[in-house]
Amino acid sequence: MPEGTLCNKKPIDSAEALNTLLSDTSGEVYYREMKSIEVDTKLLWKTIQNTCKSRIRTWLEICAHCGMCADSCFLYLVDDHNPKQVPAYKIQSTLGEIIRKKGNVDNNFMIKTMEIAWSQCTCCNRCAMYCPHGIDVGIMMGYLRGLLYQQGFVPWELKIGAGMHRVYRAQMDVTNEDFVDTFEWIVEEYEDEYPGLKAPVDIQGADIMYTVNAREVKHYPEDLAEAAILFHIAGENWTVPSKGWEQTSLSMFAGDWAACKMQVETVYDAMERLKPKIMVGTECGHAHRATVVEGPYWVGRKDGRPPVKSIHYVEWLADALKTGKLKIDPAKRLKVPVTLQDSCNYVRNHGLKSATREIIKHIVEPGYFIEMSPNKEHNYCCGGGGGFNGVGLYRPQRNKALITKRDQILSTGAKLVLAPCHNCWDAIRDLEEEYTIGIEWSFLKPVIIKMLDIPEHLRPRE
Amino acid sequence: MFKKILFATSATKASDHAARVAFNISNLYNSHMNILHILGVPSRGFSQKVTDVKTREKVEVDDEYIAWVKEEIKTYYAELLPKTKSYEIKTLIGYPHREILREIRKNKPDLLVMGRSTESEGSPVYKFGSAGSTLQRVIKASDCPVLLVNRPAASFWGSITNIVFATDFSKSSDVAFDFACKLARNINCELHIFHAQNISLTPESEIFDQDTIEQRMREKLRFFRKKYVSKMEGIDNYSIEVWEGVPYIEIVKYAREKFADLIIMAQDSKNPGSTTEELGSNIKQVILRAGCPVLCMTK
Amino acid sequence: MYEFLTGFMFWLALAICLIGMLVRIIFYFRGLSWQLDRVAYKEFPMSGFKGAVNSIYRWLIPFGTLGWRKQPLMTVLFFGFHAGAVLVPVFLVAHNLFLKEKLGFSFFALNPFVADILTWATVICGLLIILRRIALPKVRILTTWYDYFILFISLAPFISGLIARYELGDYSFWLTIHILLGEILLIAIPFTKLSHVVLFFASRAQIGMDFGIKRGGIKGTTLNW
Ligand code: HEM
Ligand code: SF4
Ligand code: SF4
Repeated sequence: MPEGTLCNKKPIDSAEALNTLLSDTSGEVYYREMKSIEVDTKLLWKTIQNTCKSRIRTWLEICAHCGMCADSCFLYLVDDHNPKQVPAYKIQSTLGEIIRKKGNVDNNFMIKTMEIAWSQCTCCNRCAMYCPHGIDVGIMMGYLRGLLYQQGFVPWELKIGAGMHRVYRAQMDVTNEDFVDTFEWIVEEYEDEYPGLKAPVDIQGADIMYTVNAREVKHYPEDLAEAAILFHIAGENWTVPSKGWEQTSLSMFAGDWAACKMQVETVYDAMERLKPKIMVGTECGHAHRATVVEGPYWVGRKDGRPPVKSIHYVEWLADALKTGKLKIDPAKRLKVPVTLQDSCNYVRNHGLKSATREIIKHIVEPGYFIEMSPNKEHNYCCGGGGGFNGVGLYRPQRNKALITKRDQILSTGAKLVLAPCHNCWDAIRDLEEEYTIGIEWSFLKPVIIKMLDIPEHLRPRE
Repeated sequence: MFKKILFATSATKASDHAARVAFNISNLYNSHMNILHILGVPSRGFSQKVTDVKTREKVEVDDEYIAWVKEEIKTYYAELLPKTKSYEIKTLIGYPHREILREIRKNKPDLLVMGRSTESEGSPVYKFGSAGSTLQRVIKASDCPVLLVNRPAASFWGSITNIVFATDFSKSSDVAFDFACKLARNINCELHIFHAQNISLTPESEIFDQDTIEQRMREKLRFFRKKYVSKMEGIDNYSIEVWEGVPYIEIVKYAREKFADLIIMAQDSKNPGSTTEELGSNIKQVILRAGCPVLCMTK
Repeated sequence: MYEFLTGFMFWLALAICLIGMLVRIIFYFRGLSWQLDRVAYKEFPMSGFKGAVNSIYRWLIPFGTLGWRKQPLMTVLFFGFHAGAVLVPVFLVAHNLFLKEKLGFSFFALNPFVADILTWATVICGLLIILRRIALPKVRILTTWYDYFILFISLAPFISGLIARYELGDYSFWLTIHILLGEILLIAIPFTKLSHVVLFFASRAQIGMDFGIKRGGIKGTTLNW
């Protein structure tokens, strides 16, 4: 069978196709079909010749096979030092092999490769920091995922996720109307507590354009309200776009580069349309990576930057606290042992390590903050990055992968983990569910709202 | 008065008492009953799996599963269902508080009935990071009155004879008061208006001497009469009292003394602490301790 | 034979090696693509340069990076091997005399005693690297015959050099073998993964630019390698 009805090389681009795929419980039929779809070896090789240039080729060639990257990979460590988890091995036995064979690989090989690409690497890029040659296996895995996606070998949820972006320009079936509607009523829910709280949609020329994660809209709109409250109290002139509000990109995890481009274009269009001074994104790691770090290249912006200056929520927050736009009541600072999860996507891969620590200085009573070890750009992945969290097929592997973070947290003795990243937040929630170590975890917004020293004129009148 | 009621249930023992009350009301007022069951939290990031509320198992939600759950609910309430003329069973995925609130917003029921917990609150599955419980979150933001049934209600709303309205004089208390009057008129029962003067003597609280306390209670009582009595046309049987003490204890005691079948309270939505564990605890404590259902209003 | 190896063959090997390395480095940088690699190389030359220099420099210092510090054994073996592998061929007295004769110039010459030690270190560390490859599962799984081959042609000139140096066996025979092996090594450099002699700098420069430009560099944070 060259192509399956559900599992095939064609991206999802209609709501009907999405629903059909969704209704295939656990992707049962999808994965069954995958076992017999054909590999288009010509296309594979042509794609490689066009897109695999000196950087990756050199990496594959000069890799000394020295194994120094092994211990840098948390998946190697957590899988009882299984040599098959050595980063160099994972990439040599997949992408390396495909190139050596000039694309002549079979279905079986591709299925195994898919498992490695999505369950043995979270694209956390930590190994790049430990290889003497500077070989970044995470980047190569990302590239490999693109090849696999093109051939139809992609986990079910990620095919759906990329399809969501294609159909809804959001990672979930949240329409622009849903977004604006939800945003408005959730803000309404909080109006009494914060007089004057507004839900500004599509304001031209605002100082800040705020973008979110569709999950906030769908499952915890509180987060939208909290963002509104914090901007309101900080006295910011801000807005959200009615179109182009979604910052995330499951298509990046899926390796669907065309969908990545479509998604991020909507955000850039919103920037061009509303002409804000800056864009602030929500507390999400991969969303920031997609829209701010990688996105400009997907759409072909030569300077590698979005149309307007774009920052992560923690950068805005750090600045607001530092400049006194937001004031913390020192009596209400956190007085429990607290630790911080550094997200790979904006700490290792965008250098934001000091912003979060600036925030910590304001909100945690001195002496109560404990760093994880390792930390900052050397921190381990939460265990659920790169799409790992969402793939049902690899759930057992994912759960095992959480042990790294669990033990890191345990050895800090912290009771509260601040996780300003959706993926990390999820992974930590799941690890508590899986291993019950008695911790709490939180985004920054709710924690900060509780300890704000609100100026007199913004408080509710008695 | 209650054309549409929303009954949020886990279809487990935890909502049994609530179920009985809900179906009684539906029977009495001919109300359409909307039975809402939250299947579970989408615990798989963006995946399609949820953790089932009842079994704790990870399940894949598809049409078949939903049909099965609905059938289960029907069987569970087989005895009660005949009491209602029209009902509908609905299942949703998400955080329970959020989905309940969304449903209220969408279908505008006249009353929400729920048990104390539609989930076991300790479970990390439902823990929303470090924020408050489902109950607190629903009460805080609900547009309609919320009837909470924690313990077996003697009367099951079959024959309400005594309503206790506990006020803290907030704006939302006024709304709750209007509702209490309406209800009292409607079912022709006795209304007991009550305020508990908070004098829990913690080291931080100002220490009043007894004269001041009594002086203030007299003032409150006078204020009370002015504020409320004028609006109570058509209600013949009522009493007004002010007690001193820890509010929730006094409310519960008072309700017991008056053989209350229902306590009506307001949640002060302006109190920003109301979603956190510490605050809003007045209502929470009353719900936990009262021998009758508690009706909460925010708006 | 000796004549041929020190004459035509020497010139050929040297030319292949030098031109080959040059070609490889040119092709490497020509093959970089700002859009495929997703790094705006040209737009931020200063950030890129700083990142690249930092990335190369830190890794050339023994124990200079967390990566080296985490693997002390490998660090000792690596620097033990490479110090000799890089310095001895260029700065050995005998090699310099040869260069003077052939090219008319010479470099500074190593103290013979130091040169001896470096050579021994190269050979011993090289052998230990082989041992490590066999002993550690994480390295064993990566190892191919090609890796042993590379180690062999890297070590062979040093071992044969030592044999000649201590005049074990027939000096002129071993000297000829040594020269032959040395020239094989030179020729192998551009065509095998020994091209890392230059591509190491290219690859490290690239990742340095990547971090220096895109992944935080222009945010003003320097990466702590
Ligand atoms: C400036 C020059 C050089 C630099 C910067 C350099 C750098 C490196 C690096 C970073 C590695 C991989 C890391 C590792 O194995 O731990 C390596 C491996 C290696 N290098 Fe070099 N190298 C240089 C010159 C040479 C030369 C001249 C030779 C040959 C005589 C050589 C032979 C090798 C071999 C055989 C390995 C593989 C070691 C193994 O099996 O683990 N290198 N080099
Ligand atoms: S550390 Fe680098 S050179 Fe060594 S095996 Fe890993 S990827 Fe290859
Ligand atoms: S990117 Fe991260 S998960 Fe992937 S191989 Fe490297 S260290 Fe391991």
